[in-house]
Amino acid sequence: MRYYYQLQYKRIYRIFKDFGTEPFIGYPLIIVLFCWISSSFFDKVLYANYIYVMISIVFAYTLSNTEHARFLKQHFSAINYQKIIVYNNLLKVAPFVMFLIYKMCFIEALLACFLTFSISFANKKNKISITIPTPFGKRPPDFIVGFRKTFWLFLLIYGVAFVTVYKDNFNLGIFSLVSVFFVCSSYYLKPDPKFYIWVHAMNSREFLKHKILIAFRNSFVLALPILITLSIFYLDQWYITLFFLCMGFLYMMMYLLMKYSFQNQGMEMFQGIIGVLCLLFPPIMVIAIPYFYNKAINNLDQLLK
Amino acid sequence: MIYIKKLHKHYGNNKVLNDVNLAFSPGEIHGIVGENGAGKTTLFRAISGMENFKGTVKYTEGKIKDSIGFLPTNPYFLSKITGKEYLQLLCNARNIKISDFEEKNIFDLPLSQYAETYSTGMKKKLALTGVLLQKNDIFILDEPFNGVDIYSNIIINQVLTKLKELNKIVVLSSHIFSTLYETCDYLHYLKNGSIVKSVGKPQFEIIEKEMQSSGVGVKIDKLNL
Repeated sequence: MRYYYQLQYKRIYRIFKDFGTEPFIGYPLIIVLFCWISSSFFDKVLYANYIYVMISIVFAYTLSNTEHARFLKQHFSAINYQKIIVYNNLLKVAPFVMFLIYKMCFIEALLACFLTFSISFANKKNKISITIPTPFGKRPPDFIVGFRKTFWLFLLIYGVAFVTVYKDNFNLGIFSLVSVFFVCSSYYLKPDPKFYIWVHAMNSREFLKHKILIAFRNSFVLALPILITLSIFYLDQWYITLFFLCMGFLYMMMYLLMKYSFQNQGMEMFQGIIGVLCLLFPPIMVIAIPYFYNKAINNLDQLLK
Repeated sequence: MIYIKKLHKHYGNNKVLNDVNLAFSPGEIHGIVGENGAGKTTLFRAISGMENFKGTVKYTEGKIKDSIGFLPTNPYFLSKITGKEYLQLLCNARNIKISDFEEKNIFDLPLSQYAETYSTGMKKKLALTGVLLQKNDIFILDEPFNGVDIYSNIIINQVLTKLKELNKIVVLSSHIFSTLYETCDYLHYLKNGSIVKSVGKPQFEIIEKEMQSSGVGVKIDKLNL
């Protein structure tokens, strides 16, 4: 078990190196960014302590890789396997717990630890044989894969849109609209295997245009029920709805461009940080989008010559 | 016609391909053989443009990348994508319109199921169906017979014969010599990144014997089994 954690440390070290950052700079930078983002979150979000606990659990759960767990199960004894799973999950949730303690939210910190401990005994299954239907079959794969993984979130989001009308709270409607784009942006977190890019008979610019158009069209389809609701009940505030729709498109485009900027560099965490930064301060996108576009073109040129 | 001239590839100080020179004509099936790690897959990826290299790969009929159907040794399938959606993706990528994929399903695959749940052989057959539907002029097939059942092996042999009739360029690799004898017109022996021998059908046996003699350095005793 000790060697396993030494290997994990080496892997993290190599991720920083691959990104071109010296780990002794990367580690403190990540810690500072995490504290800053968490702090902003607590300042700006209502009931932040509860949502923060939820985010920490989702983070620990989604980051646990089924294949990795299977590998551990095959090669470690049953007791050591369970220990590693518990330790790994507690390590993932530790920064959140420490921040909760710093914020004097002791009960929430305990709750996060308890829930993390509990989910460590849940079996995560990733191969469900039931094929979930999607409206995106003609244009695979991003939205097909993403929608099948997150369809339950749309039930919640549309539920919030319903509450918007019921409670007559326009802001909730905007929140649900933004949530659609936030979820859709997550479809662009994982880099494509080289083959899935190479196979396209397009140059880099055509490829990006093709991908962006699909992203816009499909996210619009998912946002449509909310847009219709807001158009019917809050027509007088159409310009606010339109503003957030455009921001949503921009936000998603940035994620898509980031994905191809860091193709095969495993930069999900970096994408996540920039994504949150842009949420907190959207004008960053004015610089970020052209920068990532050029970087993506350079990257794709290697495969789509 | 594809001309490969002075192709070199290295990862840092590790030379993977060294001065490879080959020519492939339409209507011919070429087999590339060699031990594991000889550089076959890297050669295929270099020809298809998925790897950078030094040297020249020239296709006389146009842009090579958009004319190649590439079947990798272990095709990768995204999670939560069905067989049909995979085929749709490959056709979309080459602007091919197909309305009924079931009709084209020559291996009787369960196209409505997630591809990640397929067996090794089924994955290979799905990937092969995809490159066949793309109507390519060049086919690079990295171990197409690997993990595939006997019945499907027969179909793949028939497909290769048909591609030859249609004047396509086919380059494949395999470790099963009997399939190479059946399908290939030429064999090229790749050893430590270099083509050490290229022969026509009557001389296939020479390469087989050479490979057998060079690969016998087995050191099982060291494992103390």
